[in-house]
Amino acid sequence: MEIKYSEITKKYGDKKAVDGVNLTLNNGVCALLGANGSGKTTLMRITAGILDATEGSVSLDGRNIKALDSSYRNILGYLPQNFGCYKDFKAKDFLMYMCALKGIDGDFAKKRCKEMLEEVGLTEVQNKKIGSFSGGMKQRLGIAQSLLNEPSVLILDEPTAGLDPKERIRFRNMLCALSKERIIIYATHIVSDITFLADRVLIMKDGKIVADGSPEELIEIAVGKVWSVNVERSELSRIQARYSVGTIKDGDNGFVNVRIVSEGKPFEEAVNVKPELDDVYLYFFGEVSEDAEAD
Amino acid sequence: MLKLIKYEFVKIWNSRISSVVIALVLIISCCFSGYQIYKCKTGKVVTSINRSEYPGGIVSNKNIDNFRDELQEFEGREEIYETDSAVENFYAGYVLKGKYDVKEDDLFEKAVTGEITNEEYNKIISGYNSAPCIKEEYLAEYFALYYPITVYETAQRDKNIYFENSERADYELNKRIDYSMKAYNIADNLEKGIYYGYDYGWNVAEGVFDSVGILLIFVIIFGLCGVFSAEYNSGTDSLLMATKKGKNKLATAKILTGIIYSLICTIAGALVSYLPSLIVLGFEGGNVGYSVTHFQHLADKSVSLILACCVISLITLCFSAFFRKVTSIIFCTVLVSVAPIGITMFLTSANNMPFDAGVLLNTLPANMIINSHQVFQQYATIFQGLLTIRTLYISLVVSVLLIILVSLLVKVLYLKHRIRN
Ligand SMILES: Nc1ncnc2c1ncn2[C@@H]1O[C@H](COP(=O)(O)OP(=O)(O)OP(=O)(O)O)[C@@H](O)[C@H]1O
Ligand SMILES: [Mg+2]
Repeated sequence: MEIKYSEITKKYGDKKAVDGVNLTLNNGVCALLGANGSGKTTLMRITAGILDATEGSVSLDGRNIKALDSSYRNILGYLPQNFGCYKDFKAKDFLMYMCALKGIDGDFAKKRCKEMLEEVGLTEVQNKKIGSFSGGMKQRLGIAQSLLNEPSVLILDEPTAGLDPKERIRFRNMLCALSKERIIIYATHIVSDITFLADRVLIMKDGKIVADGSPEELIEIAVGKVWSVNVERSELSRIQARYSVGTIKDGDNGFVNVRIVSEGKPFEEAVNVKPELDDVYLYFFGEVSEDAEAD
Repeated sequence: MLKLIKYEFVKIWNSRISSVVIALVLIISCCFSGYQIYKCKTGKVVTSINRSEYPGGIVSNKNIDNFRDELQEFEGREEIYETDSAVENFYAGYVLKGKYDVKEDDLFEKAVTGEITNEEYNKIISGYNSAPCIKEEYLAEYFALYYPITVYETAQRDKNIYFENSERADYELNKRIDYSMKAYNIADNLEKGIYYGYDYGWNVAEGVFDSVGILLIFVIIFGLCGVFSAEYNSGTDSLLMATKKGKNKLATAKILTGIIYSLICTIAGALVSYLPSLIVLGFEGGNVGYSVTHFQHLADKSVSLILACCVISLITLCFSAFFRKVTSIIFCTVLVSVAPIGITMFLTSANNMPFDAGVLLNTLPANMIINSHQVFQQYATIFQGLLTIRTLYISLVVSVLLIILVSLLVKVLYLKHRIRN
């Protein structure tokens, strides 16, 4: 299966939230990485068919998703970034309702609900009202809901937001276990989540895709641009203003070890280190003010 | 589809405003019903007959003379009248207990001839609009003759008034046609026969139902204002719109929910209005009434209420699909639904009705609810008098058209709304 974006642009007034995206997605997990406001959610909404693009079209296996209409939505699973729940519904009833909306009937619906509740670890609270749930529990219910119809196209907009570490790992394993015979689009700004999962990473910035490739390929971009150096603590703020600074580790005698992402060698004593995905993110988003660059 | 509708009802049921309003309306209508029944039971009602024990029947042109003859013969019998002392007892308070019913004319006669003093006469008249004179054991027999004649004469009088009005040159054509239709209708009834009899249960119920009808507007507006807007506000719309049935089918389900909700409201309204008074005051008398029997009234009224409620519920859904704020939805729906009442009142008071505007305005939903009595006995004339139809039929067509149009609009508004969350 293949989803193809051609010249997708979404404008809000004069602002382009998504700017001329051309892209083809194949089976596998595709992570969409980007800063706040970079247009991830907008692109996902367009993919889910709940938002019309100002220009361009999205097609599944050559057919426009708008023309496919309900048959496209039938194979779609979508977890919105901020979604609402029916506070007075019990978790189980909510999933049964989503089954009804997804056209899953009868015993199969019951079976799926039970399975999904187990998957996300909500079986014990299935008869509690959603209004009494914590943020993370709601998020898990949202994940459960998106998987009810065993979707071939799964869109997850920041699925791990609000999940505790244990649940985050559970989710990661769950996603891994899902058959690779589907397209999974996964928006996030948590880099560590995708290092394990993603077959492909897209970095989005100001509505444009600025990098595209497997995690290894992206890391390749940063090779030779990540530096490690020991500096005096007092110098830290000056360095931070001037370079994209990654991890800072405390050292001895008022020295600290900083990781800097920079095209050129920032200091004589700096040494090149092996880049990670975090560094790639910093490479694109660790913006340094122009003035600082100048002096 | 049925499942989707079921869940919509669950959502309505879960919403606090709708349950509060439903409970309030239920309480108000129970109080109203109770008060009317209480008034009836204690005899504080201004109608000619205040008991259930007289037999009903049919009166028509054919048998009216028999009734008159029999009544004359009956009234000629000496033994049926009360003695003076019993009448005095009556003054002392029998009436207030509702034990006697009387002939006012006789009382007047007695006052004129000096048999009773003017003071006594006034006392009785002010306390009760009749006075005693026939013994209790003869009352049933008496009313069996007296009542059909009264019914017949009232109908006859109405017919004459309508007929005279229909002849008046200073009236507009359509008004005259309306009157002549009514006169014809009554004449027809007089020929075929009019049912008469005890019908208190039905009478009271009708009054209650007319008032409950207005309250239904609020049950509908408050019940349905969140059908779309609550999804928008809580952010569930982004979930719904991405599911197979969450667009078109869900919109259809919501519209059907609105229609079924109106239906249920009307039926519940009818039950709440009719059952208490029928149970307490008796089920008999449904076929009583000239021109419109109680059964017919209930049927006509229910049809017009269902249609009007459907239209109002769809208008509510329309605003619910458009606005997010509940106050805006309620304000706009009330404005649009109730506006025709205001326009009608304005046009009537300005005495400036263009052609049949008044009649036609009455076919709009809110007017249908408050003017239902008028609506189904009214006729509208179109094409210069070439066609005269009952306004109920116009309402039917107008409502069905409105329902289709507004449903389409609701769908478009829902599908085109912008997701915010
Ligand atoms: N309904 C809207 N009206 C106007 N502007 C909008 C609307 N929705 C999004 N935007 C703008 O479009 C841009 C992209 O927003 P989007 O929600 O897609 O970002 P995002 O990458 O998902 O961010 P985040 O990581 O915070 O979720 C932002 O600048 C935002 O202000
Ligand atoms: Mg987002």
